[in-house]
Amino acid sequence: MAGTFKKFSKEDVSNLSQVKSSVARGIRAAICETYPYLEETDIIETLIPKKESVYTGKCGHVTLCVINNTVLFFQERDGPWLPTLRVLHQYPEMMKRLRTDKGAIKFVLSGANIMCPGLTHPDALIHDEGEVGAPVAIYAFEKEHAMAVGVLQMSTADIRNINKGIGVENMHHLNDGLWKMPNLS
Amino acid sequence: MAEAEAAPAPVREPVPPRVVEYDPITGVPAEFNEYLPKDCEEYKKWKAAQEAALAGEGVDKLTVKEKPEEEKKLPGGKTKKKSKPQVVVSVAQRQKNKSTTTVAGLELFGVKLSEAGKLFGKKFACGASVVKTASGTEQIEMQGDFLQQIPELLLKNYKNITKEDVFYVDMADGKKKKNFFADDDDEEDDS
Repeated sequence: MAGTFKKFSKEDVSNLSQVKSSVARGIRAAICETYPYLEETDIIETLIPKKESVYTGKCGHVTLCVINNTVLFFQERDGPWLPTLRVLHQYPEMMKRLRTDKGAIKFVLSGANIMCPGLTHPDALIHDEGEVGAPVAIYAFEKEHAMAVGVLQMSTADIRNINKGIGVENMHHLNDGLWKMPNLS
Repeated sequence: MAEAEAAPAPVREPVPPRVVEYDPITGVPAEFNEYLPKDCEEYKKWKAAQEAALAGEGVDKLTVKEKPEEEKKLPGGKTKKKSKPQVVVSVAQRQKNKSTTTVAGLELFGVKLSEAGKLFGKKFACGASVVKTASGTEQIEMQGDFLQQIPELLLKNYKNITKEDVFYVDMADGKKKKNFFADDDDEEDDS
């Protein structure tokens, strides 16, 4: 759901517990599968070192992957594991990129989903193609850093052709609850 | 176990993480400062800093929190006064023999006022509500005199509030005093 982290604070995280290594390996594998870039460059080892204990926490339908008290990835229900924006900023090449026009920025930062016209606008740019369900990084015209992380609701081809409706579901954006709370103590 | 290292394509060049600078006031990359939702804290602080900069004052002075300084140097506007993050507890008189206790400044510590209000009402079996003040900030008003009990409850429930942050207005002086150990310990109420 959009606005997943609208209200989110340390108190909302329940069961922060260590997972056993088989589960940790599963998470690592799932993340590598979703983001081959992390595996190819071995960044996954820096993010989730084999030796570190992996913790998970739950917050509503969202599972958080926590390492060294820092939230690195999250997953809604059984969806794909998505990186927090802080991680994405460090490794921007890990995800497909979509760029909206300027007008969309304030809506996206308030948690709104990204509508097709925001991506087909002359200033917008679909850097990488993708299918439904693919995690994408949302950028904005003339801005250097990603402002949101989302999941494609329509294939990029459909976004262009149909140009109506929600293109990307906004899962996490700058200054949302998750952004403001990268560390759990 | 095969293929972990010697796979055909993957180039194992260590890629260092990019270091991204986040704006010291808003916490997000500065390029997005102006696009933040207007009703959020970070935007307001940033906006205040902008206005003050225009008014020719040092932005350093305005760097929020932890600096017991400035009260109203800003030319009005959306701010939260930037003053020392204090919690101020005061008691005022009401009809008959009743009084009201006001707790101000909690929001500076990231406390949700509606929740806090509810909590106070429950704990002390009194009416508690969130009211707005002239300056636009909100306070919690409780029916009854809880001057002594509030600080203790605050410390107990809110980890980020420490003894040094709680002040109260002394009836005799009308000044703010620190809410020290001494005060609380002597008056241990069982509430």
